[in-house]
Amino acid sequence: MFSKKTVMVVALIILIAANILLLTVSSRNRLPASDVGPVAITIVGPLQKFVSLTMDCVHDIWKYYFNLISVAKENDALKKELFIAAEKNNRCTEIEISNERLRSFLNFHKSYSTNVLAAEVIAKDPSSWFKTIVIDKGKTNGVEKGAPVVVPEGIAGQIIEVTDNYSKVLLIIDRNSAVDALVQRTRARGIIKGESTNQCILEYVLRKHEISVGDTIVSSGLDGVYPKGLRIGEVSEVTKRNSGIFQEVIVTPYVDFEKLEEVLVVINP
Amino acid sequence: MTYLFYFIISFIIVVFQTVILVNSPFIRHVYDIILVLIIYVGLFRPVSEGVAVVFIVGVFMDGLSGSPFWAHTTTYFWLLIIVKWLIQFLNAGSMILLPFTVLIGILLENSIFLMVSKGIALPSGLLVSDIHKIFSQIIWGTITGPPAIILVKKMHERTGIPVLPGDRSEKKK
Repeated sequence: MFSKKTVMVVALIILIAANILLLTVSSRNRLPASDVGPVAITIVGPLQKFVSLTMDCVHDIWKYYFNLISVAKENDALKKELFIAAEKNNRCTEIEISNERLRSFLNFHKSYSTNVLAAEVIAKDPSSWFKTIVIDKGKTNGVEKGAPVVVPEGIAGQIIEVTDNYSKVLLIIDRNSAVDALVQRTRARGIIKGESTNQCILEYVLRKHEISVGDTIVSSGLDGVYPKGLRIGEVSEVTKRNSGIFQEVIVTPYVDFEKLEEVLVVINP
Repeated sequence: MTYLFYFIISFIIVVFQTVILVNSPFIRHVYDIILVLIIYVGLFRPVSEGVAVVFIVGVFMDGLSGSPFWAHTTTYFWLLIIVKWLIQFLNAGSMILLPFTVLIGILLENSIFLMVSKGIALPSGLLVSDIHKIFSQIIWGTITGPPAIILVKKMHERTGIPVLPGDRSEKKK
């Protein structure tokens, strides 16, 4: 009844349509494919960890044995920096003590617990379009899906998949990531969204708020994922267009995601 | 034996590109090296083997990556179909076909990833950095892809696999 060519064309159209439907449903996380992901991480994780450790070992040999000349100079500079940091630390301790005293005086609750778990980055996303990493801590260490991941410089991301010994972290620079944030100085609120580059965009900030380059962006705590007050990045560009109720704010994260080696998982945010 | 070979090769490629390449300060936007394996099976191996490799490796990559599930499998599946269609007209062993298929693979994968990560707001949503990323992948892919395909072919032949059905030049011998 139909020629072979017609059947082929119809089959191709059906296949393309089915494929687009599958990807659309999958990108909205409505498919129960989450069981396969942990299996892949479990299989490949040990080898990734082994190769990662070997590379660290080679890197350390280079760093500690072949680079001693610059290390001596660096050591002197670091000693000076350490002295300054110790001084600063002392001041911070004083401030913390007085802050604690005032908080208890005003009967404030502690905004979040500091129960964190250190983890090592063992692999990064093979695709440059998606920004995820794999860490060497999982369910057995108390890591749960949704837990925030931080580093001393600021927020790194969020746990999206957990196996017994490994977890996958969605970095804040990924296009699928969103963090409820505040401009520290003006308290203007917005959503930090990734761009899969080394910068983020602070979206939905009303034009009426005054934001300047260099302003610090912190988490608002309103998304229920990240504790309040964690540093995210600093404003690097502000654009106010002639129309529209929002302004465009480009944020450079404090975290250098290219050099991410260790992270802290907040166990009880 | 053949499937063990594919498993080992994919395993090595996955670890290489998730641990070593991503930490290399010299290579920022490298292409997905699994494409090399898919093109190899598309050019030189039977359809049944190709489909099996596409689904196993695709699901594996989807599990490891932060991409929406099935994005990698979709790319590999369509790349296999395109390569199989191309070798109906061209010699699988042709040196012109190899960089061309790698180019198709890179463009196909980037188009699918862009669509799933940015929605259908293309090309208006395309950033300069995105174009740079794709361009960089194409350069790396067309230079290193063809030798990598030949390397996989040579390694596979060493395992004692019989005449490769897709390669006309092999058949003539």
